[in-house]
Amino acid sequence: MNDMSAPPYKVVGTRPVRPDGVDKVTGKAVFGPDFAASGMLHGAVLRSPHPHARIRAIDTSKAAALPGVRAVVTGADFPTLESLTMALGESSGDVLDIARNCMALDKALYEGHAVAAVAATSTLIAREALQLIAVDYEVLPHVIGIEEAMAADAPVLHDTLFTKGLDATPDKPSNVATRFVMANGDVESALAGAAAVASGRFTTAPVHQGYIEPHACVASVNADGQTQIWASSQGAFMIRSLTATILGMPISDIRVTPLEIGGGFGGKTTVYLEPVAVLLSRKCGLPVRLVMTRDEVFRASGPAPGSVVDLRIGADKDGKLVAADIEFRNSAGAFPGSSVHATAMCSLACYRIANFRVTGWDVVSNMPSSAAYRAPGAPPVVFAVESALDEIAMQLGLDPIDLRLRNAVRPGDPGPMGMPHGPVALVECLEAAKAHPHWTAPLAPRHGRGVAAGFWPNYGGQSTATVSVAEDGTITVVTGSPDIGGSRASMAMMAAEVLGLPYEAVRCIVADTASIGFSMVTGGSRTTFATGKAVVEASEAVVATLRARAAAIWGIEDDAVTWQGGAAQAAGQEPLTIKAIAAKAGQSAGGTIAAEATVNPLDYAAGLAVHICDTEVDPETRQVRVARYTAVQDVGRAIHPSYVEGQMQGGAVQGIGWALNEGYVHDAGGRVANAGFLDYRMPVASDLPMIDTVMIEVPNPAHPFGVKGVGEAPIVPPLGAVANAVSRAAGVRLRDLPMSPDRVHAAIAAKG
Amino acid sequence: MARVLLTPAVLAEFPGAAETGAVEAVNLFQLVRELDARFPCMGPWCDARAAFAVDGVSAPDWSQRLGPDSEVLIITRIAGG
Repeated sequence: MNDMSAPPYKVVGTRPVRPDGVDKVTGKAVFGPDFAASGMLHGAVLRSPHPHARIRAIDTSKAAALPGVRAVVTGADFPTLESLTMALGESSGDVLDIARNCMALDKALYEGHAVAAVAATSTLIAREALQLIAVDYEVLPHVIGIEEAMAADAPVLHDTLFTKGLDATPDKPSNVATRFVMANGDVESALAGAAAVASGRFTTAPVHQGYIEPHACVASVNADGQTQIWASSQGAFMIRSLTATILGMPISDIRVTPLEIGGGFGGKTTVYLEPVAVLLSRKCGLPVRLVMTRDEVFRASGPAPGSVVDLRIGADKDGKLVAADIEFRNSAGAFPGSSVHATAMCSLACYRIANFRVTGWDVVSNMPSSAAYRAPGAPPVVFAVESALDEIAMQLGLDPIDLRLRNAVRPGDPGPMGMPHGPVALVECLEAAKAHPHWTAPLAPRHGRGVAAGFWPNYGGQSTATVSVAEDGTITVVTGSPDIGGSRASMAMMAAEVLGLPYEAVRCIVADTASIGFSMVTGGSRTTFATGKAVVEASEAVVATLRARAAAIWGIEDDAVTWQGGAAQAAGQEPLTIKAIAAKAGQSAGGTIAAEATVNPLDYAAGLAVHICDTEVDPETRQVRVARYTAVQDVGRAIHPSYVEGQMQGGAVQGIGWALNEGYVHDAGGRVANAGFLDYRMPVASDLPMIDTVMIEVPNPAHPFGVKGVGEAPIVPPLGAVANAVSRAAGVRLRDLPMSPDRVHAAIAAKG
Repeated sequence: MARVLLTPAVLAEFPGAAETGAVEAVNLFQLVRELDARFPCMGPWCDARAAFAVDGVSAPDWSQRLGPDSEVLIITRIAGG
């Protein structure tokens, strides 16, 4: 364990300029849709206009004959696959589902599901060719809503889907993939004896991650099968392994080069286009680029699941929570996998509750297959729980923060999956929130104030890093972790701290899959923790080599040499700088000074956040305005505080959008009615006040600098914080998200 | 004999494994082989989807030695975003 009491850091905790900043603000950075290869063709994807239809036949002959068209593929061009659950970064997925999501074979399962693709000499020709593809559909009844999909007479998407986790094995398929129950104690007796009980149904809509950059890639397949892919994603290795498995290729035949990523938020942890682009390129022998339009992003890439949550939570007269009964249903979209385990895990993770029962359902319907979105699965259920706590506080006349403090988990308490909580700092966050001027500031007329807490477990996992010393003593750090939140800067800072160098002496790049060892996706709030550990280990190995080289130059033992201020030090010797040692690397047996570290740490620590929100409800339009917002979070140790604050602000803003504005709207025909940023309204800077941030630093002792993941926890509390604020401003509990003006108006009108 | 505890999410996949109880294994590799022998497909499932905790501590290294009284908790991996 490291002593974190008074860190003597020179670089960690400072705010240097990010190394990729200039390229990004000047437009030089190459994002997914920007990349072009010599001789490249342009692809386009034909998508189903029906939310549910059997594909009886596809005739591509006219499209293939169009001048300029060089390749056409359909689902029939994909290799036959068996269902195979494979590890995908932190979690897993069925590769057959992922392949079918890339392109339908016998059934289109949602409007926008890919059914064919074309590569041509221009985008216009490719799109014209799509219109020449004749698909013979047998249109089937569709189902969108969660409860409608669970109904006994609902159209069934998959004939092979039998519910897991029921007491009796079902004898016919349904749209329910999984049901499971986590339980402890006697819920009913505890609720019967509770002094205050909050209960009700809470709903949230499916929402999109809303990344600015659409999915895009270029694939180039050589005659010998060697393949290159350039793509923007949260994990080049993920693209490599999924594409190879889906297409039955050796992984070593594929090299994926990561491009700059214009936002991911979990939505770029899977593949949509890459296997299709590889098949097109394989057919024509030329590089092929596929880029989604914004419309395609909304209709064909994964939203976060919608949810329906029923709950009852009870407390005794002192505000001690005695029992919770939660039943949630998540909409997985076209294929199973709606983060139900994370939903269950996070639902009550902030609080000590002796008696609980959490029942989860994973439900498919005719929507795009859901994908991860920042703390996937947690925000909707936490919205319900935090709303219930607000009701209990009101029933008992307690300060909402005091109620939470009375029940907050401490380090060592039993965690949601049975393992004890690590260094959680919810109490510190709640106390900081209570002490913040925001909490006691007077409220203006028509304003309401809400508070909510949130938990996310974070992750560690496999990462690789190399650190090498150039001839002049400057440093290059190489990782396999795409930079989605300033990680190049934070990696350089950690290396600089270990090496005793200024930040400017260290540059960090993100390498392609052939140039660095395997690294999991940049997701799960794992990169600064896990990849950071790899960088620190490699840096420490470099320091060991530098000390040994200095010892050799001086003719003394290694142990007599220390490393301070970027130089070797020994009694009676003039310090040898890294530059001086590097200049003599060619005169040493070891030659170049470099080190690689591979790590797989699972001693990560959870993230806890507490948010305070003030809202104003317009008395005429019922539109909600966020008047003030404060985000408090335990961040372990902020390597680069500006980026940590940025994560907190970004998570808060996305959560505010989830609470107030966002949600997929389907028409009666099962088609997305708001597939664009004009109709799918995400908050923009002019909509919101400055998001105030308070970083609490309770270090993770398992990380050399105390890092905890920070990217996901901040999207967990906002839904509840905003809903509690609106409910108090409106004088009525708002239980359905988004809290659009019509819903707020209806709730106020119903109250009378 | 290591005592094996399965979380509900794992039991949803392998309902027959509820009574797994104790398993003779020197490490997690052997434990997974033993479970696979008892419950078909559990080995590949563990490879792809399981996370382990031994005596309350996450266990990324499956070669970690199990003691005679070790408690092994098997949970599903949780994906982040």
